[in-house]
Amino acid sequence: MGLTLRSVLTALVSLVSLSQGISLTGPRTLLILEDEVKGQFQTLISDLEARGFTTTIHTPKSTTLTLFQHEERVYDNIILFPTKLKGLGPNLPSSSFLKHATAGGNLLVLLPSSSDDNVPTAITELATQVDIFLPPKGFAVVNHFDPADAIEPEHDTLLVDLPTYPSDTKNYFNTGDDKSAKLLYRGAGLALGNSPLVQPILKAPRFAYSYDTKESSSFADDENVFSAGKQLVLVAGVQTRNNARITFVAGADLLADKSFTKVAKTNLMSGNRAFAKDVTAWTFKETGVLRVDGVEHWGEEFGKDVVNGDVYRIKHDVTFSIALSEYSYDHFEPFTAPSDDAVQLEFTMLDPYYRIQLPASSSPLTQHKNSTTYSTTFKTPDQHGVFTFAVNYKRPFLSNVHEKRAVTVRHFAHNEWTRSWGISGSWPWIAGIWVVVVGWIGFVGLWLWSKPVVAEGKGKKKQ
Amino acid sequence: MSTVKSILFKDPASTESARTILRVVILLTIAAAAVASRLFSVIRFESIIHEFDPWFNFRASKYLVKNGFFDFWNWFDDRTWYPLGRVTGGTLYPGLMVTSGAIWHALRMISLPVDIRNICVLLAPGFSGLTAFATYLFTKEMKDSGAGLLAAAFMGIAPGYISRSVAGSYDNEAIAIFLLMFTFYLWIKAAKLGSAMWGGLCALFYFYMVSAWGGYVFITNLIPLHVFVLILMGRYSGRIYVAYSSWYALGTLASMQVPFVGFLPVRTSEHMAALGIFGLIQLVAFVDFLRGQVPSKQFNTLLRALVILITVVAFTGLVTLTVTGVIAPWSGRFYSLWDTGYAKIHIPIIASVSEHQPTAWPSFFFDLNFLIWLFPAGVYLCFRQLRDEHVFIIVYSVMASYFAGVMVRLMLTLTPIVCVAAAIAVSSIFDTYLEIDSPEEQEEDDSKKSKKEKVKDTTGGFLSSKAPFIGIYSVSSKVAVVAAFSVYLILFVLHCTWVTSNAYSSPSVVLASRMPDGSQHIIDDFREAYYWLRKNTPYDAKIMSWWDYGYQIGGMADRTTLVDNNTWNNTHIATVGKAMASSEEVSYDILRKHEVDYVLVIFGGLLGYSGDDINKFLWMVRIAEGVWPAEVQERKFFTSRGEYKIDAEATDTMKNSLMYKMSYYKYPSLFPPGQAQDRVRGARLPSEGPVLHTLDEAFTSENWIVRIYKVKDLDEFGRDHFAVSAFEGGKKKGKKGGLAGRAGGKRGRRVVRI
Repeated sequence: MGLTLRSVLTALVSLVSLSQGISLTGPRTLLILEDEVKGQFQTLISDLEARGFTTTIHTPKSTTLTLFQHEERVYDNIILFPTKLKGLGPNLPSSSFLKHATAGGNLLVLLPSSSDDNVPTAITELATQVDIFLPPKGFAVVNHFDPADAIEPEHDTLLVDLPTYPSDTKNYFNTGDDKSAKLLYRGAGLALGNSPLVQPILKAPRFAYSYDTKESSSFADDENVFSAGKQLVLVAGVQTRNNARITFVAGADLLADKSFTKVAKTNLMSGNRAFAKDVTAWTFKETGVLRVDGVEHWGEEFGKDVVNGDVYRIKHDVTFSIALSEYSYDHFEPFTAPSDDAVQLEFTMLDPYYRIQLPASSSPLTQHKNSTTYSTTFKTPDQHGVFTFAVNYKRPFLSNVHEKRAVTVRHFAHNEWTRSWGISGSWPWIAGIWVVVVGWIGFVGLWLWSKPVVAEGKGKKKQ
Repeated sequence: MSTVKSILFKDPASTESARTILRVVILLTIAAAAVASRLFSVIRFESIIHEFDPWFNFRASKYLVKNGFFDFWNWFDDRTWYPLGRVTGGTLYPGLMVTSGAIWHALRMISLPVDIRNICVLLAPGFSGLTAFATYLFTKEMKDSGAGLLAAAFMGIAPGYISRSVAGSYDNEAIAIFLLMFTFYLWIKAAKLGSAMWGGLCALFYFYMVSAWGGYVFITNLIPLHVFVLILMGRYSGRIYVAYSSWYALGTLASMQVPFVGFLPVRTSEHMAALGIFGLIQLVAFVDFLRGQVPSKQFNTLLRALVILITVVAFTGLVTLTVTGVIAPWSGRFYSLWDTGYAKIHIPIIASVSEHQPTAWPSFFFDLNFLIWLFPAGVYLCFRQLRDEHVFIIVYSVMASYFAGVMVRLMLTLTPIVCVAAAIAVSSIFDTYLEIDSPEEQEEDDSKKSKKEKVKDTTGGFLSSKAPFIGIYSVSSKVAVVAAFSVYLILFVLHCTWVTSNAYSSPSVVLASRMPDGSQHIIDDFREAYYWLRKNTPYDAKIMSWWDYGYQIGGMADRTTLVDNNTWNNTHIATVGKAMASSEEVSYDILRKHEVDYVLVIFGGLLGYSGDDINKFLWMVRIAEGVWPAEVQERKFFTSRGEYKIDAEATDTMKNSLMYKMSYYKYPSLFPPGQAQDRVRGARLPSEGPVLHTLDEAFTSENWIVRIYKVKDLDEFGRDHFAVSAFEGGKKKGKKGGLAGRAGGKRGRRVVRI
C-alpha cells in the first residue's frame, strides 16, 4: 500500500517537475511591493507562478515580515520592487538581505525607472557591499542616437539589443524565440566595481550615457555624467561565493507589463518578456547551476581497484575525472564547456605543480551517465607532500565549481627502488665485491690447505 | 664481630662468592633506587609523556605498534609540516621506538598486554637502571668493582642524567646514555683484549646507538681520538689495531643502514676523523710490520717520513674534497660548538632553543653536586696509572668538559665520565682510609710499628714509579675523612633527591602551583586546549602555531600542524614567523595559502607563565627576517629607545602584528578599565584592546594560557574583512553611491569591463 502511494507521489512530483520549472533554491518567493505597484508587474508575477514559484506579498513597511525564523531562511527568493518610500521598513535593513544571501537565498532588486523616485538607503548600502554603485536621485540613461520613441523629447526610453557575450561565456539571457528582438529600457543605470563576483548582464548601447536630469535638462557636462557607453550597466548579476544570486535591474520597467509590447519603431514585439524570464530564471537558479556528480582519481599503482585513495607515489601516473552536469529549469543535463573555454585541473601544493586542461572524456563515470566526464592522466611530480586535486571552475553566470581533494604523494618506499643489479652502471662494482669475496675465500682456502714447508720457512726466518 | 669478619673475608673462596652475591644485590638496589627516584613525576602528576620531543616519539611509537615495522620504516607523515609532509621513517632515529615496540611485543607474548603509553613513560627509568649497570662495568675496567659500584650509584641518581630520564621523558637520550656507556665499555674491553669479537660487539652496540640518538657522533669521534692519542704516545699495539679496525669497519657499515644516517659516515666532516684514523692505523700497522722485518735505522726514518707525507696528502685531499663539496662541510650545529656566538648570528633557529645555550656555571654544581670537584681528582688518578683505558677517560673528560661548557644539553654526555672519575677518586679514598675495616690486624700493627720509616720512604721520589705501600696510621684522620665523605655522600643523595623532585619532575604539559593555603593547584590549560581541538575541530583541520607546540598538537590533539619541533625546513618556520609578525592583511594571505583553519598561541600574561609566545616572539621575528629581510624587521619591534614593549608605548608594528593581537585580544576586558596588567612582563596595557578582523576567537583556556583562533573564511560577497567589520560596525562604506562610484573613489581605479 505504502509502496503504491509512494510511487504515485513520485509520479505526481515528476509530473509537476516536468510541467514547471523548479528553482534549485526553492519555490518560496517573497515579493516586497506596495499594492499600487503590483498592477504594473502582473505578467512577471504570473509568469513566475506559472513556473512553480509560490509567492508571498509584503509591503516594505510590513511589521509582520521576517526573513529569518529560528535562524532559518523563510524565503528562497526575494523580489524587491521599486517603492516610493525613502527607506524600507525596520525589518528590512541592508544587512538582512546580506544575511539572506549568506544563507543561500536569492535576491532580485528592481530599481525605479523614473528619475523622480527614491532608492531606499538599504538598497544603496546593499549595492555598495556587493560592489555596485547607484547614481543619486535624478539620474537617467539617455541615448540621443537611437531613442525608442523619437518624438519623446527626453530620449530616456532606449532600445537595447539582447545581450551577447564573448565566446567563452555561456549566454543565458538570450533564450527567447526572437534572438534579434530589442529591449525597451528606462532607468538610471549602474556602475560596477572591480569585484570579480559581479558581472554585467545587460550593458547600455555605445552612445548611451547616464546624467543628472535635474542639474541640466538640455545637456550634460563631465561633472554630472554618471557613466557612459558599455561601462554603463543596466542589469548586473552578483554571484556570491556560496552561489547565492543577487541581480540588480537598474530600470524596473524592463520587467514591467508596459514593456511587454510592440516596439513602436520596428513594430515587432519587444524581447522584454523573454528577457524577464531569463533574468528571473538565472537569479532564482533555474539556469546556470553546475553540479559535480562525481570525482574519481586513481593511480597507476593499483589501477581502478582503488578509486579515490588517499596516497599516491611520486612519478607515477594518476588519472583524474570529474563529472559535471548543468541544471536547466527542471532537469540536469550534461554540461558542455563553451568551445573557447576549458575545465582545468590543478595539482597543487602551495602553488600549482600542474595546471592542465580536462578534455571531455568518452567514457563516463560509472554511476553518472547523465553528465559530462572531464578526465585526464598525468604523472605526479618528483616531490612528496600533501597535494590537492583542484578544479576551480569559476565563470560568469555559472555557479562556482571549486572541488578540492587533498591526497598524499609519498616518497618511494625502501623496497621500491631499482635493485642494485638492475642498474647497469653498478655492475663493475658488484663484480668487484664478488671478486674480493671469492678471492678472499680462495686465499683462505689456499692458506689452510697448503702445507707449509717447515724447513724452508725456518731457514728464511733465520736469515 | 671479628670472628664474623674472619669467616667472611679470610677464606678467599667464600669471600669471592659472598662478594659476588653482595655485588648483585648492591647493583639491583642501585637500579631500584635509580628507577624509584625517577618516578616523582608519575606520583605527583600522572603517567603522562613530558615536554615536547617525547610527544613525537610517543606518537611514532604508537604508529609503529599499530602499523608494524615496515610501514614505520616507510612512514610518510602527511599530518605534520603541512603541506610538505615529512618522510618520517627516513628522518628519525628509530632506536627508541623500536625498543619500546619490542618491549610491547615481548610483554604481549607473555600475556601481559601493557599500554604502549606506560611502556613509553617508564622506558627511561628502566634504562637508567641498565645505565648504572653499564657504568659499573665500565668503571670496573678502570679500577675495580668497588669503584664500579660507586660509579653505578652516582650514575643512578646524578641529576645531570636524571634531567633527561625521569618517567615520561621519553626522549632518545633515555636509552642513548645506556648505549653510550655500554659501547664505551665494549670498546675498552676490545682495546684491552685486542679481540675482534669484542670489537664486533662494540660495533653492534654502536649501531644501536646510531639508530637511537644523533649524539652517536660523540662516539664516532671519541674512539678515534683515543686511538690517535695512543698512537701519538707510542702505544700502538696489535690489540688496538684489531679492536679499532673491527669496530670501525663493522660499525660504519652497520650505521649506514639507518636511513637517516645513510651515506653521512663517508660524506660529512663530522665522520672524517674516524675514517682518517682508520687509514692512519693501517699505515702504522704497515710500518710496524716493516719495522719488524727490516730493522734498519735509515729505513725507519724513511718510513716515518712516508707516514707524515701520506698524512699530509690525505689531509690535503680531505680539505680539497670538502672545498669542492664532495664531503659536506661542518653543519651549522657543529660550528656552534666551536663558536658559541655563531648560531645567534647565522642560524637563529638553533640559537632560539634554550638547551643550545652555553652552560651557566652554577648548573655544573646543580647537576653534579660534589662529583664536580671530585672529577679532576679522578682524572688525576688516571694519570697516575695511565694504562690505555685511562687515556680514554682523560680524552673523554677533556672533550666532554668542553662540550658541556658550550651547550647546556651536552651536560648529559659529561655526567657519565664525571660519575666514573669521581667514583675512582672516592673509591681510592675509601681504599686508603677504610683499611680500618680490614681484619688484617697484623698489617695495622705493622704499619704502627714502622710508621715513621714508611713516611720517610714515601716522601721522597715519584709515587707511581715506586708504588710503595700506602696506609693511614692515625685512626682519627681515618675517621675524620671517612666521616666527611660519608657526609658528602649523604648530602649528595639529599641534593639529588631534592633536585629531582623540584627541578626535573615537572611534565611541563601540566603545571603545578601552590594555593595560598599551601595545597597544590594543577594548571592543566595545555591539555584542556588540545583536547578541545581534538573534540571540536574536523579531523583534517590545520593548526598553525609556533613550532614548539607542533609535536604536542600532533600528539595530544591529533591535528595537522604546519611546523613542529623537527625543525628541518627553516623557510616553512620562517613563513609561520612571518604570519605571526606581520599585520593582518599580510598574515591572512599566508594563512589562506597554507589552508590554516586555526591559529594557536600561548599567552602567559594572566598567570605569569613566562614561557609564552610573546617572550618567544623576537625569535619568530628574527627567523622570519632571515628569510624576508625586506618585509619583517626586528628593529621595528623595538621602541625608539630600543626597548621591547607591549604596553601603550609599543611600536605600531608590534601592535599590528598578529601575535600581539591574538595574545591581547579582549584581554583588557578582564580588568577594570585601565587596569589591565600583563603579569609576565609587568606592564600595564592600554585599555583599548586590539581588534581582530580576519580571525575569530574560538577558544581560550581557563587561565588564558592557550588561545585558539579560527581563521575566517573569505567573505561571501567578495569584500575584504576590514570592510566587513566596518560595515557590521555601522560605519557606512561610501554613504552615497553617487558619483563616487564613477571614479572608483578610495578603492583605486575601476577596471574597464569588456
